[in-house]
Amino acid sequence: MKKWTDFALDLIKRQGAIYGDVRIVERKDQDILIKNGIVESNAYSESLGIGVRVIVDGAWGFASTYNLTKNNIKKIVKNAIDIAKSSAKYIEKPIKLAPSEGIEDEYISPYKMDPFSLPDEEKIGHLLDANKSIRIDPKIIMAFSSANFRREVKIFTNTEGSFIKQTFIQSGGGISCVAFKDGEIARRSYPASFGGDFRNSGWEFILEMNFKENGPKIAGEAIELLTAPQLPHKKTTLVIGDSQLALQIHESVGHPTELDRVLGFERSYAGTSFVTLDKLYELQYGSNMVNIVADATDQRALGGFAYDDEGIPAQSTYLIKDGLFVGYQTSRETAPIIGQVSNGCMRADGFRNIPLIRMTSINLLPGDHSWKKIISEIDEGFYFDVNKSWSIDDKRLNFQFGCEIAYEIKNGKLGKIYKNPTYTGITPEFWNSCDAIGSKEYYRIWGIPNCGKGEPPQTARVSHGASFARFKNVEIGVGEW
Amino acid sequence: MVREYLSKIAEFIIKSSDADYTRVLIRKTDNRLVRFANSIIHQNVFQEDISIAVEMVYGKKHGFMELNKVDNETILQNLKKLKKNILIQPDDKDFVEYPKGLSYDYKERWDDETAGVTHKAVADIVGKAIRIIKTVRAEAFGALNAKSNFELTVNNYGNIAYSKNTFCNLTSIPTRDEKTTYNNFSSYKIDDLDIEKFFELPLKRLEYYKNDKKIESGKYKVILEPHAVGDMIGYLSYMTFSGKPYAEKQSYITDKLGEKITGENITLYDDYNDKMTIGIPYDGELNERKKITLIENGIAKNIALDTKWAKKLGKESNGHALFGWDMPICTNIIMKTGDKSLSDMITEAENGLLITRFNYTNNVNQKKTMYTGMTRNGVYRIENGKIVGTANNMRFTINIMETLKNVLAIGKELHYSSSGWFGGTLIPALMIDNFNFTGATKFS
Repeated sequence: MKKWTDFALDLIKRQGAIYGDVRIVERKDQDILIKNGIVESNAYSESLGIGVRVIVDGAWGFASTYNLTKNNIKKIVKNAIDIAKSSAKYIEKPIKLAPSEGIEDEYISPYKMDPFSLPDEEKIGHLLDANKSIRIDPKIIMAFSSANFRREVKIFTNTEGSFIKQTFIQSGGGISCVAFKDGEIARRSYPASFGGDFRNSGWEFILEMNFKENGPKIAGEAIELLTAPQLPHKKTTLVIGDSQLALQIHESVGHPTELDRVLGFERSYAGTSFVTLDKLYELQYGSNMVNIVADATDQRALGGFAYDDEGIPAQSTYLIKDGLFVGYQTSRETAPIIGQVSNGCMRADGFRNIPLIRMTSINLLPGDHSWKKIISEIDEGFYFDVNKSWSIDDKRLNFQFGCEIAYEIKNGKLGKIYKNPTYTGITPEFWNSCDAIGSKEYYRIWGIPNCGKGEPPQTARVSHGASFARFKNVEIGVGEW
Repeated sequence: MVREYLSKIAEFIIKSSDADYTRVLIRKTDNRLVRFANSIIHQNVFQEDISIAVEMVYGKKHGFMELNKVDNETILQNLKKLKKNILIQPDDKDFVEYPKGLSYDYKERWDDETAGVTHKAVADIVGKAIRIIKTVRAEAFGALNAKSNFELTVNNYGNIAYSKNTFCNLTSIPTRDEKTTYNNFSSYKIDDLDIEKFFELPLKRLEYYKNDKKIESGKYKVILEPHAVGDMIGYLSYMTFSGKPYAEKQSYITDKLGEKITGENITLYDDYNDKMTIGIPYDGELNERKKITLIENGIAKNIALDTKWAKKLGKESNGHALFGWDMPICTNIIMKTGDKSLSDMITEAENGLLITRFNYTNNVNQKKTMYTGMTRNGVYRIENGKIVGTANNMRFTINIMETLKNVLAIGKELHYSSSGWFGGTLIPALMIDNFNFTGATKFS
C-alpha cells in the first residue's frame, strides 16, 4: 500500500498543496443473524479504497476512489486539488491547522481470538445455542441472536512526514426477543438493544457476554411485559441503567461537545449545539458529581485507537469536570479557533469520506454508590434500562428516550414492572439533577457501532463508559397511550 | 460505457458461480457534495465508488456478500468463501425460491448536464446562494449534492436490469441571529434549480422572527409542511406498510386490511411511475414494481410484498423487494392531494402553528405507530388567519394513525424529496387538529 500513498503524496506536493493527507482503508465485515433457530443471514462485505485530502489556496479539497490504479490515483489527486481551488473563491480566510508532528508507527488493537480465523461453524453454533435458550415459551414469537465482526486496516500518511498503520479487530453481538399475546407486543434485549454491545476485541468478547445464560431471563421479562401496566405520566426520581445511560451520554454530551457542531459546520444536517463558545468554563453542565471525559486511550473501548485520522495521538481529556463544562472534542482545523491544539477526535468512515469530529469514548466517570444504596435511598421512583428509542433537538437540549423496561421503586426496593417507559428533559437541567452515580464495580464501556453524522452520511464506531445513575424530578411516561 | 464495465463484472460472477441461483447487483456512484456554513464553503468532496452485491442459493441455503473490489481474483476468492459459508448452514425452512424476473433498461431520470457538472460549477452555484442569503444580512448554511447512479442487476436466468439516474439536491438553512428557516430542492436535473426563486420564501420567513414568542406544550391546530409530513409518512413505509412487520404482527394494520384506519380524506399509494419521482420499474428480485394503494379514503388496502413475505401471507409479490434486505418496502409513496393552497390553509386555520419540518424523529412504539421528534427551522404562529410571528421549537409525541384521523385539510401541491437512490416521497401539506406537543425548548 505504501507505494500508493507515496505516489499520491508526491503528486499532492508537486501540485502546490500546502498540506495533504492520504488514507487507504481496507475493511472486512461479517454479520451473522439467527432468527428463530434459522440462519437468517451470514453476510460478508469487503471494501478497499483511497481518500485524498488537500489544502490549496487556503481551502479544503477531498476526493476518494475504490479504484487503486496509478491513473485513477492521479485523477483523484487532481479532483481534490481542483475542488480546493473551486472552493477557495468562497472562503473568508485560509484554513490554519494546529501543529502536529510527523509520526511513524504501527498499532494493532487488542484481541485474543481473531474472529475471522474461527470457523463459521463455531460462530453460528454458538449463536444457534443462544437462540435456543430464548425460545422457552410459545408467546416468544421471535428470538434473535446476532454477531458482527470487523477487521479494518487504516494507513494514514501526510505531507508532514507521518506514516501510521492501524489494524482494528472489533467484535459485537447480542440477543433479543419479541413476545406476543392478544395484540400486545413486548421486546427485550441483552446486553443492549440494536445489536448488543461492541468492543475492540476478538471472539472472546462474544463468549464473555454469555448469551445462553441470559436468554431465558429476557424471554421471561418480555412475557411479563405483555401484561404489565402502562407507565404513568409523572415527575419522579429516576435511576437509569448503564446501557441506557450510555446513549444518554452519547446524545446529550457527546454530540453537543463536538466543536464542528458548535461552530455551525453541521447546522444544515445534524444541527448545532447549545454549548456555544461562551459556555466554556462558565456552564454548570451537571451536578458536581458529574465528570465526563473523551478518552480514546482505552484500547478495548470501541471508540479507542492509537491515532485519529489526522495522525494525532489518542488522548483522554475532560469535557465536564465536577459538573463544569471544560472542553470540546476538537480537530486540527477547529482547535486553533479556540486557542487550543487538537485533542484527536477526527475520524472518517472508511476511505470514502472526509474525516469529521467524531466521539471517541465519552465516559461518565464512576461515583461511589452501590446498587443497593442507590435504590435503598429512594422512597418512590423508577428504574429504566435498555434503549428502545431516542430523539433530541438540533441544539441537543430537549431529549426524549424510550426504554424496554421499567421497574417501580418503592420504599427502597425494586417493585413491579411497567411497559413502554419513556422519559424527557432538558440537557443541563437533567445532568444537574444527578445526585448519585454507581461506583466503579458497576462501570462498563458500551460500544455503539452506528453513530451517524455528516453529509454524505457517515457512520462511526464510538463508545461510552457508564455505571447506573440517579436523577431527581424527571418527567416520565410521555404521550397518550 | 459504464454499462459495459458493470456488465463485464456481472457476467464474470454469473459465469463463475455454480449455485442453483445467483443474483448480482452492481452499483456505481459518482458523488459531488459541497457543504457551506457561516457563508463559506467549508467542505467539498468528490467520491467515486462501486458496490458489488451477490446473493447465492444452494438448495434451501442462501448467503450474501458485498465487495467494492473489482479484480477477478478477489471476486473468485469471495465467491468461494460465500459458497463455503452457505453450505455449512442448516437449511432455511422458510426459504422461498426466487422468481426468474424480467429484463429492463431504464434511463428516464437521467440528465447529462447533472452528470457532467464540474467542481467549479457546483462551487459557483453555492457561491451564488451565499451571495443571495447575505443580501438580507443572514448567514448561509446548507449543502448542494449532484450525483450519478448506475445500477445493474443480473440473475442466472439471463435477466438483466439496468438503470441510471442523476440526482441533485440543495438544502439551505438561512440563519440570522441564530434564527433559521429552511428550503429543499430535489430533482434529477440540476437546471431545474432556480436559485433566486428557491430563496424567496425562506428569506421572507426570516422576518417573522421579529415577533418571536414562547409557547407551551399542549394540543394545537397545526399545518405541517410537506417536509414534516414526509418524515411522518416515511416511518409508516417500514413500520406499517411492509409485509414483514405485517406478518410478524408488529404492524398497526396487521389483521386490519379492509378496516378504516385514518380519516376518509387520506389516500396513500406507492407508484414508481409518477413523473415527479425517481422510481424504477423493477424491484430487487427483478419483478415488476406494481402500483399499490396503501390507504384508500381511510381504509387500509394493501402492503408492500416481495416473494418471501408474499408466500408467508398466501399472496403474490407486488414487486417491492430490496436486494439483500429481508424486508419489502415502498420506495415511492405518494399522498393524494387535496384542494387547498398553503395560504388557504393558513386562512382557514385561523389560529394555530405552521411547522416547517421535524428533527431527529423516532418511533416509540411500532405497533401503535407512536412517534416522537422535534420541530426545526421554523415554527410560525398563525393568528386570525395570518402568520404573525414565530415560536420556540416543540416536541411532539403522537400516534400517527390517530393523527391521520384529525386531518382537516390537504394541500393541493406535492413536494418531492428523495434519498437519491431511485426512490422518494411525494407529499402535500396537511392541516391537523389536536396535534399533541408534549414538550418545548426555549429556542426558536
